[in-house]
Amino acid sequence: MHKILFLFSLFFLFSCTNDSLELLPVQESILKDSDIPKNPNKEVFFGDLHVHSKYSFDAFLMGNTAGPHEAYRFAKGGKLTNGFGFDMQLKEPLDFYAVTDHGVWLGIVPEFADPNSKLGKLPGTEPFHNINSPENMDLKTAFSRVGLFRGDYSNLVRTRGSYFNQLKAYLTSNLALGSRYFDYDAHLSAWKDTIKAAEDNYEPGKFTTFLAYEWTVTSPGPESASYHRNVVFDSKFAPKRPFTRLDSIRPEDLWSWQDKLREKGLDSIAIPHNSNQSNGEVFKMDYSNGRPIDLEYSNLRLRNEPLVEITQVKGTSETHPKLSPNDEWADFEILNTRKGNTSRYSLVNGSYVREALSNGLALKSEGRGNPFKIGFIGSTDTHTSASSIEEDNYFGSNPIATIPEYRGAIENTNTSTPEFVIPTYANNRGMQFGASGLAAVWAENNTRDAIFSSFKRRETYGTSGNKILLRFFAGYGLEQRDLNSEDPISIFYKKGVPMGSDLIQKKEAQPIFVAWAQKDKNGAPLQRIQIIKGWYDDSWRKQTNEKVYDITCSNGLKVDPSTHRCPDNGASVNLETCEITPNKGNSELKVLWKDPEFNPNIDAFYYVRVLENPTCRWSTWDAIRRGLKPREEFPAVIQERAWSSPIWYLTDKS
Amino acid sequence: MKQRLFIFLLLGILILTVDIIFNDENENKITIFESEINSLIGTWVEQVGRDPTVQEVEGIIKQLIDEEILYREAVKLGLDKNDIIIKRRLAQKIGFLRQESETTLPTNTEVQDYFQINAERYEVDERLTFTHIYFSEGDESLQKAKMALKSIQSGESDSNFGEPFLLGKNFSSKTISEVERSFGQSFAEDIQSVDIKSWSGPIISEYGSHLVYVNSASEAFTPELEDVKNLVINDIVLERQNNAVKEYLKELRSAYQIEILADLNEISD
Repeated sequence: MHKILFLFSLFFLFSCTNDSLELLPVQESILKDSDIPKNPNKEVFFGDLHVHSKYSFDAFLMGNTAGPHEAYRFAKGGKLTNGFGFDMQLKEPLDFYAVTDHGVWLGIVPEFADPNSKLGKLPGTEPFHNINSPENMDLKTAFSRVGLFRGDYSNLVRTRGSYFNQLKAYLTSNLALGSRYFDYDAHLSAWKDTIKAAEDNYEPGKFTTFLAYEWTVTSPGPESASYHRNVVFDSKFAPKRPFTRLDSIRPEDLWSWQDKLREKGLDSIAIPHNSNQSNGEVFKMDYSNGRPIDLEYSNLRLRNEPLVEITQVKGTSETHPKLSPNDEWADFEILNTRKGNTSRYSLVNGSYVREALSNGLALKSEGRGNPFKIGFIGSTDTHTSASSIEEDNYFGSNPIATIPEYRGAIENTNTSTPEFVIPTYANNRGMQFGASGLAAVWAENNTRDAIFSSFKRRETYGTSGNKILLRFFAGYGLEQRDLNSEDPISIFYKKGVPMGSDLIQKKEAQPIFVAWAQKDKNGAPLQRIQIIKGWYDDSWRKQTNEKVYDITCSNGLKVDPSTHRCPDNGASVNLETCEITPNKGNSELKVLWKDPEFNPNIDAFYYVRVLENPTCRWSTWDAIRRGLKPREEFPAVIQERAWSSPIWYLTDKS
Repeated sequence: MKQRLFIFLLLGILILTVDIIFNDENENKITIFESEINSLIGTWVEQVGRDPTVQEVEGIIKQLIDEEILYREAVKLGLDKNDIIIKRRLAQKIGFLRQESETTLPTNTEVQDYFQINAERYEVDERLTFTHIYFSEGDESLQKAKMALKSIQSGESDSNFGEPFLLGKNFSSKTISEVERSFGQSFAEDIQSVDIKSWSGPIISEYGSHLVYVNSASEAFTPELEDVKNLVINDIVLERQNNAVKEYLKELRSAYQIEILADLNEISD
């Protein structure tokens, strides 16, 4: 008897090594993806792949009490009232949505706040008790919440548990178990609730959800910087638990984990975000241990990371004025401090998408593969469970910021909040946050199968929060009459390739590009379409290059062939009413384009940027609603835009 | 791996020892599990700041046994009653159990009844299948559309398709809200009032003028139960799980006589 018990316990301990690789089944939905009719020309769907609910430690501390179920209901068009009494609702529902809570400590902080829970009874959690009870939901608590986040929370998560728990953590490769303030049951139950919410709210053909989470990582040391990724699963299964920074802080390990799950039948993609705040970490040219990137790294990364979040509430990562001095639109929603280390600037090199695309071509020409062959999406990174993407309906990215005074566009005059230095603007970088962005996909129908495969082939684009419609193709022998024909799209699919694809060199032929955009039906008219080209010069110069071309202008204006710029169409904004000039800009722009400086022997990428006429920024709306003038030191207007995934022209030597 | 094996062995020996010492076959048997010892040692480490010695671990285990004995005696004496913390914990536990136990499939009659009561929920939206001819915005957009309509109606030209529209020409089985998402609100309203199977318009959208030919418009209808049976079953099970605790309570409540010894009016003041 005793021997059996002994052997059994040995077996038990061996069998629990790293349960992050165990798969859980998911509910079968009644309607199968294959039941939904497919449109071969593809349809456009808009969604948000970066949403934090109450299970994220920071979201909860900032007052978010809405879980994943409430998040999906909001995305389907429902109204969500937060703890501060603010109603959040979109003008129009989204087509897909993924709740991406921080995997690390997922679901744990709500336990701290419950004095009757196992963790809530431990000494040290008292400051968290009932923080999100109704009586604690006002601006006065903002500062103590920040204090909890920076101080108490960090201390608790660093407190080690018993020797035995640490042993268990070590033996099962699950370091969280070694912490005194971690309750694995609570963690798993929050994760299961996340899975269930995605299952319950998936309506094939109508509304798509994905099981997802955020791998939240900050590098150690004084130069600490973040290189977070969202992991989105095809949702055919669910891993037993998320792989977090306690498992590894190296992205290569995350990708290997994804590889292993893929072998078991669960596919996933990782999407880096806030590269702008990564201090050069997201697109650096080395392995995380400093070894230079090689072919093996490139393949590993490519398999797992087809997309990047080019814009979100905490800034846009397309490019930076320092990197693109000849791009007049580069200075767009720039937030240039580091994440989690906001007093320090983020290095520009290695932090922006356009530079990475060029560097990818450079690496490839050196035989090291192209690890930065990435398509674009936008998303929000909201911490309220609800996407805030409309300038005139912006409610910030965390629950406290639904109180307008906390966003920084209007002065705080509430004398009952002694913590505020009165009167002054909230000094919390809130003004540099934006009402951005959205992920757009071209897919045969609104199902997990179709949308997930669009992600993988990068047939996606990002927007700064609006719903510009954008098609982009390249091919040989595309003609003007194709664009004017009855069914141009099927011709373009037949003769060319869509956004996100490779176009292989063809002897004696020059690629033709087609860009076709429609304005957001609720947004401002379109101002121009641009193509951004990047390439690597591998002659003696050894340098990356980029060029911005306007390819079609609004109001019948013509591109100046020497500057490649459209003349001003004269659209402006009335900063007292936010009204825009009528009859400026177009509801639709489309054009066939040839690269005037095409060199058939050099690899290049081409992506489209569509610009709207200027409109009021959210901060201007905040100000005029209180009868104030917008703050002069910040931009009052914004040019909403869309960025297509690139098309890569590849020479046949490659 | 070697290191791990060593630790497994050590741990195994410990469990074995504990098992040998306390494995008593008589009725008042007390079994101590590894996890209980772990958590107690954890607390001890936090208080004292170092790992316990062997004697101290023995002490901890002895304490655990003492606690277990006292607990059992306390239960025998009924001291667990009227303790608010114990009450809440147990109520919570039974709630979870009830929720998880609710997986039996509903009977046919139950499915029928549920379907009848909640018919509205299964209503199939009105769907339009239509094609359109598009004339992009501009001074002559409306004029061109009117001319095209005239020539179609007089049978002159079938080949006039106007201009290509980014989202395509044919829209198959779209709900009104989907039409609104692609063309805007006024278009979605106007298209609902045109005649079936004839060219009509022009209808104005955010993008220009359109002639539309609605091929079929299915009215909103309640489907046959057979078509949505699985959906209904799923909904019943989900609702049951969500309501399990409530229903369970209702069931039990009848077995209880409830007496409230307080003047509620006074309290609510």
